[in-house]
Amino acid sequence: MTLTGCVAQGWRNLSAHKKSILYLYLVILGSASILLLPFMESFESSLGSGIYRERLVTALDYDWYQLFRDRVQGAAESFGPWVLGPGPFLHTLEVLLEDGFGKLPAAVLGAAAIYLLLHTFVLSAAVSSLHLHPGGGNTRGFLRNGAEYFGRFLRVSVLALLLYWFLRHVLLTPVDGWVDSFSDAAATEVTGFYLSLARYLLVLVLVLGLDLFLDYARIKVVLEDRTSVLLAVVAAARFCIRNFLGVTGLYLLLVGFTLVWAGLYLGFDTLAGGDSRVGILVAFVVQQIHMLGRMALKLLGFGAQIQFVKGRDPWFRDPVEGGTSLSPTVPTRGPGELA
Amino acid sequence: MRVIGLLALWLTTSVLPAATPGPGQTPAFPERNLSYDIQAKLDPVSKTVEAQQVLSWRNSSDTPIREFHFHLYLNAFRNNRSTMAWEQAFAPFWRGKDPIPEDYWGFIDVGSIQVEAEGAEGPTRVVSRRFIHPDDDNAQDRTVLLVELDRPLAPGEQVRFRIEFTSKLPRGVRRTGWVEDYYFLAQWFPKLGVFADGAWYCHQYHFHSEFFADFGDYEVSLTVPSGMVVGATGRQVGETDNGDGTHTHRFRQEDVHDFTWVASSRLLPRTRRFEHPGLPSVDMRLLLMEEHAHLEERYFRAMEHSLRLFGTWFGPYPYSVLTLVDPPYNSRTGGMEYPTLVTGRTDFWSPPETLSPEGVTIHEVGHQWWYGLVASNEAEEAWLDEGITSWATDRAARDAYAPRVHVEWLLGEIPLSFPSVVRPFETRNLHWVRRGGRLDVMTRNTWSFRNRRSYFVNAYAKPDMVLWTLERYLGSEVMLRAIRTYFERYRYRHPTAEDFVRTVSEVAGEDLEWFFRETLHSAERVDYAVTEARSMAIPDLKGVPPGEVETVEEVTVADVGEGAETQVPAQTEPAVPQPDKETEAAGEASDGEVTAAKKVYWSRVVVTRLEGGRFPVDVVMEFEDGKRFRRLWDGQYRWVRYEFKRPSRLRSAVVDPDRKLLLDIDPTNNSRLVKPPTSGGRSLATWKWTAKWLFWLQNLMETFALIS
Repeated sequence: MTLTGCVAQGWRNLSAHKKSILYLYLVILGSASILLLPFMESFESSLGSGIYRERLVTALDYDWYQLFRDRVQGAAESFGPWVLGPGPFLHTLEVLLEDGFGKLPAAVLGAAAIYLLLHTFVLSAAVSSLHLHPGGGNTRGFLRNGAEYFGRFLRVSVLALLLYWFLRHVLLTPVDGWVDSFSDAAATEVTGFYLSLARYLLVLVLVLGLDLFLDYARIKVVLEDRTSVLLAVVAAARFCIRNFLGVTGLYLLLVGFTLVWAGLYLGFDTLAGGDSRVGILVAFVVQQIHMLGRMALKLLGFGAQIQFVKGRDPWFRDPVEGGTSLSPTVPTRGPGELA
Repeated sequence: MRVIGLLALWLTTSVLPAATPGPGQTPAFPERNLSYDIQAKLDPVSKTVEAQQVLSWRNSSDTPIREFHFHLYLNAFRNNRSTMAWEQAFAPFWRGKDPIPEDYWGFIDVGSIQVEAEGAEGPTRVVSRRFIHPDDDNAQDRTVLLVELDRPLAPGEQVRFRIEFTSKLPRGVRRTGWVEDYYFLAQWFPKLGVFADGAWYCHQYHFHSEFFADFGDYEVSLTVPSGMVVGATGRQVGETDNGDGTHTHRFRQEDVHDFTWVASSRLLPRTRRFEHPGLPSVDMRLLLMEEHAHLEERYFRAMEHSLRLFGTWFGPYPYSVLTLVDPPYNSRTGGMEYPTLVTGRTDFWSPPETLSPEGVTIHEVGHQWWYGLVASNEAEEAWLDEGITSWATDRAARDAYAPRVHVEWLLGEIPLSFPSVVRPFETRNLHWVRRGGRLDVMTRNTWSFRNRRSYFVNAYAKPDMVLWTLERYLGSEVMLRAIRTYFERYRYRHPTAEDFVRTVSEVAGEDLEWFFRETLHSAERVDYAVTEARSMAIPDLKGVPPGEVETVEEVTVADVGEGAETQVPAQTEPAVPQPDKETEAAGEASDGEVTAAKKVYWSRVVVTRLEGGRFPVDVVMEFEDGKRFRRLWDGQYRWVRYEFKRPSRLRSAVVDPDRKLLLDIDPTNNSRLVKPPTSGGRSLATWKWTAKWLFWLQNLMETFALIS
């Protein structure tokens, strides 16, 4: 099956699981909304009772912002001009590449942790449902799948966090030191600039690689019903190495879809900006449609990757003949078998 | 030939002391009594400069002088026990390196000092020399050298010092030193202090201090390896190929108080001529790094804007040349001013909205007027240079460029601008005043400030905001006239804050001592707030016999509070109620009569002074019928209350509605709406920005999901 074929088949499967997209979206909306009230309180009180209540409707007043930044505490500390335009994408990417999570307010990290748990549950339910119920399923089955795979998916998530920490604080530490000392000794800032960009590009590639690799680990957990996360990771590694071009190509295709979707959002965001109630509402709706789309793309990715694994892994092409030492010798549940 | 030139220089000097001009007086050009003739040779291998210096000085005071104080500021980098090193102990500037590598040290060693006197008293000689520490007891500090003669130099007598010295350059630190094949030489020669009021002003080198010296004429020959581009204070008057792999560049400049130079084979020289009607022409010289070559036009344009605007506002730039050095990466020499030579600072990826290199260029060129020409004592009153220059920089940038927008530097390298977030030049430093405004008063020696932040606040940020506030108070025209008068009156004369205050008061036509008492000499911040704004309908009178008409006095302006202003401008004075007129019904101005038949509202506004700073402020109260009342409150007591009984509800109250008081640290509490507009119980702004923040947070969570 070609890569686009995988995506098309993944899309067809996803069409039967529209609710999964909605659940995933509701999780991210709900997790973020935990901080909504405290944020609104901080923001509202910072406006005072005077003209800044009106002035802030039209633009981000910089005098106000500096005062807000000096005084605010809690989740609202994370507010800044980066909420505008492409800021939400680029600023959060910066947080990732600079390992700036530790600088975020504790409340934001707490909400992110809650999101991690809920997201893991819904993702485990959605991915397993895509495999086990390709034609669609009901909510009870969705929840049951989530309950069954949540623990394993959570272990993968914890492993991912550990690997990220290792990558950022152990593996890349010498690189950071080398880049800094080389930049410091260079005759021109251009050297340091490109070295710095190269460093961040390396971090990005490694993080995306980690994401790709652990996506397949999750898929292996579901497809091969593995209880051992470590063995699933090993199986995923073997698969990714053997099908390096395919997995990379498919991943880049999906990243491309995400970038196009982000570009579309930025275009609409520019047009949808408004200072009236309606304008603000439209901008909010556009943002949330974008997030909904992101969730759909995420599940589309899993759907396509499941198809890719099924198409490439001999065990799935011919379960009787294709068993390998890394595939479950006695699968508790064969491919396509319903729970 | 050179001796003849030197003789000619002496002949142009005079023995007359510079008189301090009185009010209304425009001073004569100060007399020249100091000259330097230096021959220096750079050795790039040992990073040293070997030099001979002839310093001629005439005692233009009426005091016999036996001791002479010299700055040897390169000794600040001599070891980790210098006063500067102690002062920066908690903020390492040697790039945080510990132990400090050998090439980070720098010093100046003075060899022989011979002295010749020309006067009735006959010859003289040096009897002793020693390092002194006028600011502290640090015996390890060698930044001020005292040279004692065998007899006092009589008033009017001239002395000539022949000094041999070696300057060892540190690796680039605090705007001096070398990096790769770039050599920047500042504070590199023995420089005489300023003798005034019977004493020497020659402070040690401090971490938080810049420089102070007397005006003189410089003739300097610089020998460097061939192929090096040389820039220096003044204009180049000659270049000789020595035939031994070196070239000698000769520079000359009159009426400057320092001499700085740069040499590097990496500098790309560019020249352009500044011309503007009514201003003298200036040869602009730009020494540019190759990686910044694409910024040439922007550098020149910033220099032109500076020469034009400052020349128009304050007075013409008097020198024929202005050199701007674009320093290399890691040289630690960017963003500094010296007479006729300044250093810029920028990044190779600097889109126009970053205002880099423009901001730094304007600032450093602006110093030519205040550091360069007015030349106050920066060790004792740094704000007179840095503060005025910061205000002038913001003003020039505002007039010359598009409004500044917020720029985020992604990953510390990539500029991402937000065009909708405008950063006003006028309030650029307000948050610094808010953060550090209570640490010190502005008028302290720089080394006496509590910490680095306080130095920055009181030398740069607060005076910038003080001057913006003063401009709003006086009006731009008067303000510029005052600053121009100050400049014209005190250039070349080392004025003090008192001179500044006196001049501004004189031009403004009022005693502004109260203003400067609250700003220069006070560490109190300023914050006025409308803390109450309410309106309520006056209930019908109970217990009055039916048929009797009660007249409600509409106009009741009660300014309550000790020291409160009760002045009411005529145009806003509410009319005395006229019971026989129905102005409301006739649709006329609503401040006419009110009878019991009409609804009457009792409105109350309280304005509170939340901080210690006291300024007179306007308070404007607006009613729903469109009527506005303006009151001037002297701002002295803690609060003032205004009360109204009018046939209309109060809509809003604003203190300082014209934002004159830019020093007010919290503009968000300056106004209060009686009924703030809400949508769903909150302001529309809250909904808007919460939605945007929510989206950012969702993206953050998704990014987090990427690694989990």
